Amino acid sequence: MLKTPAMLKTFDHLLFHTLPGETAVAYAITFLVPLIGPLLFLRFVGMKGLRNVLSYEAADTPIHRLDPRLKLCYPILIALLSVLLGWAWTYALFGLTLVPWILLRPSAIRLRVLAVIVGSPALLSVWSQGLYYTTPNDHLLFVFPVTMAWVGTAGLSTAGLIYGAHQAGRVLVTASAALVLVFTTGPSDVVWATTRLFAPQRLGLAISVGVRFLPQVFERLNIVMRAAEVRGYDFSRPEKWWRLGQLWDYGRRMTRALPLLTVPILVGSLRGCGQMALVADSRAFGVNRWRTTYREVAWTRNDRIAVVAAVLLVAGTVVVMAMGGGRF
Amino acid sequence: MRAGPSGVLRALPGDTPGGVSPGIGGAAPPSAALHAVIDEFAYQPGDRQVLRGIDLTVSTGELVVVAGPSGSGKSTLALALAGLIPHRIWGEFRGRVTWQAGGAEPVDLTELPLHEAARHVGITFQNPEYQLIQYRVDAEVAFGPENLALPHHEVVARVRDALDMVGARSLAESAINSLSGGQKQRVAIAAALAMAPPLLVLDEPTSDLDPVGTDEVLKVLRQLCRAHGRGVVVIEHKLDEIAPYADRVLLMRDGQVVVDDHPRKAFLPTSAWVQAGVRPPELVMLAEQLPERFCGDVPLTVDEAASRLAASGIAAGVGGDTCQPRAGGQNFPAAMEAAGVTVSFKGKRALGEVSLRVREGEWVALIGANGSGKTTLGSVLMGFAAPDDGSAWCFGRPVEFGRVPRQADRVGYLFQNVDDMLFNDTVAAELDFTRRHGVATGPNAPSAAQVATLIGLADRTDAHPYALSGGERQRLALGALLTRAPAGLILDEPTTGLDEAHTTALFDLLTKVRTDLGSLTCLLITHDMRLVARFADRVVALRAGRIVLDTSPRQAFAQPELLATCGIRAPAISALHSRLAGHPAEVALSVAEFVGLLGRPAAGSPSC
Repeated sequence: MLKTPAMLKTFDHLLFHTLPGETAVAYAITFLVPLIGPLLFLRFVGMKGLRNVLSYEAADTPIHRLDPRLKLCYPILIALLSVLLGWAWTYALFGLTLVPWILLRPSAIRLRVLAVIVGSPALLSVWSQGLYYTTPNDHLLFVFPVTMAWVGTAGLSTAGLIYGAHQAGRVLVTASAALVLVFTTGPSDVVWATTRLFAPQRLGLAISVGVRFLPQVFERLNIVMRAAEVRGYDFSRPEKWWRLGQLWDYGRRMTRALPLLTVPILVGSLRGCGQMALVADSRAFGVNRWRTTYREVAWTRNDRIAVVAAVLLVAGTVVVMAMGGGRF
Repeated sequence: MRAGPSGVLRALPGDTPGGVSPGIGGAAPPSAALHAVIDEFAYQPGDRQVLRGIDLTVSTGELVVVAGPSGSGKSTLALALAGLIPHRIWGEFRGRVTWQAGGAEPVDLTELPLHEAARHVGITFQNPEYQLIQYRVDAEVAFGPENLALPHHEVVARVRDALDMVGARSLAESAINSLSGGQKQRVAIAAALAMAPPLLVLDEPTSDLDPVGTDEVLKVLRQLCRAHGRGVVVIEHKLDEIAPYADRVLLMRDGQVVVDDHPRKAFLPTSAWVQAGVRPPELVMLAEQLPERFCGDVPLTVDEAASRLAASGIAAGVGGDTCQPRAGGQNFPAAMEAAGVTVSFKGKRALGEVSLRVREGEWVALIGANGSGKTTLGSVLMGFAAPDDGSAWCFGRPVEFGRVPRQADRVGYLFQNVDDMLFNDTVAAELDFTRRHGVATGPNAPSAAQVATLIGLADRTDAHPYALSGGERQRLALGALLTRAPAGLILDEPTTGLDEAHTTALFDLLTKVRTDLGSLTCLLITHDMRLVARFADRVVALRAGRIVLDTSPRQAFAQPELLATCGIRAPAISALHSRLAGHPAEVALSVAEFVGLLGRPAAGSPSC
């Protein structure tokens, strides 16, 4: 029986100094790491969880009470600042974006889901840059063997991982800010704010129609799939997914279903679009350059505080950039 | 306002410049009339003329009903009246549609921009789904006034008044997606009203509604005419329901208006309507068959008919359980069965411990208000939805959620919108779909050619499904199900939007299938009580997810109070029987049956 140090040595030799071992590690780095995000997602979020977490939740907090236009501008402003700042300051900015979350006090379950949704893309960003971002004189943490040459990278790069961490900071900052908007602003408020802030009426109508009809497209897809099932089409997943035959058959069935399902959905949508266009025209859409508004939002103390905070943030960014903490 | 040459908006009489804000619910608009003279209209040059020889005038304060078989040009007429033809809906158009208010110069709607025409004549379409384009109700109603750049206070006033006029003020802050079909229809009407049109055209506004919801919308329309002085043109198949509210009824046939009269005269002779493929009101048919009892008068409501028959001393002749029992499969085993089924969606209970057994060969009608759980129960029996509790069985085997293709060997499900069921580019390919894509069927499954003959499309196998008429598409969808030789069918609102001729054709086909197969079990989900009276062996009524009635149609329609709590109204003839006989155990289901039950007038009863 081998003793532990000897075992580790053998293990190290097999994995990192033989072609099959290096190949196995390289495959794991290339294909298993990117699965972590989806696995975390499936385990902790799922489609139902996604629907819940990406939905507005009514509450009476200072953030909820803010003018929707300010909340719509918030992620845009934060994203712009994150582009201007160097990576260390971007992480500082990320820290500041947590302040609204503290005011919101989300539940532990929602926090866990949010962490997965925000953390997974950040992890993927670090991984992808680690593999594909290279510099001259790069130090490789792991050199891919010749059997992995087809993936087009020399291995896992230190410079790439660091660059990925920089990028991940921007992902974290933007996601954190955007989710505040989603979490605290009802769809009608988002539509209203968009139409009020971004002058093109057609864009406003497009957003409004999108928000209104997106759930219906899914509902309609569900009906059409049921209709196909009633006529014998089988969408059921294989019971034993490791049986390649069943998996292949499932993939074939789903692929062949796509054009079948598209026809009724497309025809129905086109008919609906025609009617919508008639309705929009008959309600004088686009007749005047400026529309008046039914809804009036009063400017409150909260809004003024938020604007002051935003101005301070911009001023702070300018100071940091002047001190050499910016990217440009 | 009207767009001037420079694009600057000028005030129209209905607008409110200067900050005065009466909204739209105040005084009735001045007397005005829409005059349509349409010599011809065809969608493509050289095509069949969809409209021809139309000469129609509709005044404010009038409620005009337009009826006719599918393809007779009703919806096209609605588009023309609203000024959408020929500049928005293209085609070969010869004619004029003009609007004249008081002694002012007539305005040609066909020459106006659409938004200008919409301020004289508003339109709502059959399906409210695609005409509600905002997320919230108030935003939807405000959309038009905002586009007109009206002052804020005027926009607010219009939203308030329009929602008030349709009785939907409480819905102002609701999301459109959360509304029922009837509520959506009201909001669509309110959104059109917010443009302040003196005249409104509605294309089948009640097609998806239960009888009580239908009545609510019709009352709103009558209120618009009577209290607010609006003119209303309604395209409608439900003539029993709308006739009492109408000032005029039009029958269209082959693009022409062939009848235009007061509802007490328009339906006579009823044979003209039946020949056209339109179902005249039952009470009118009764009066026509009993001229001596009605003294030439035509009742439009059950109250009117009952008072006339009671006054003639006829009521004494009605009653007892003289109706013949209908055939049913009393001794047959269960075809579909739900045992203690409970289903909830997002914490809201859709079905509560529902138990139902449909025997082989039975035709059971599932009735109830919108949202009462009918479709949910059908979904559980088909395997679309999993019950939270309880179980479902079909032809002796448990229904497994998600195993619909296997279930489809035994039961077929006809969806309300048959276009959702058609995936291919020819009729032949549709009927061959099961063989090409489906799991294996039994040896008794008919061939595609056999089914094509059965559904009367054998000579149209190369046609594209979307090139077929609505009735033909319905038959094709049913035929597609029959290729799997199911022993049972679940039909979800199969006659929505179908005229009488197509409805009869569909059920004649089902009867033929029943005969050919020896037995066919049907679970019919419907709001059409005349259909139930004609074809169902048994009626099951749901209320808030629970079965409150399970009996024969004769007995079910003899309980009007109970049915009313389910959002249901019995057919007029059954309601009349019930009224006259003082709540008998069973009622007649057809005019012929009712007439057969009537005795001779009592001696000494007053005559005409």
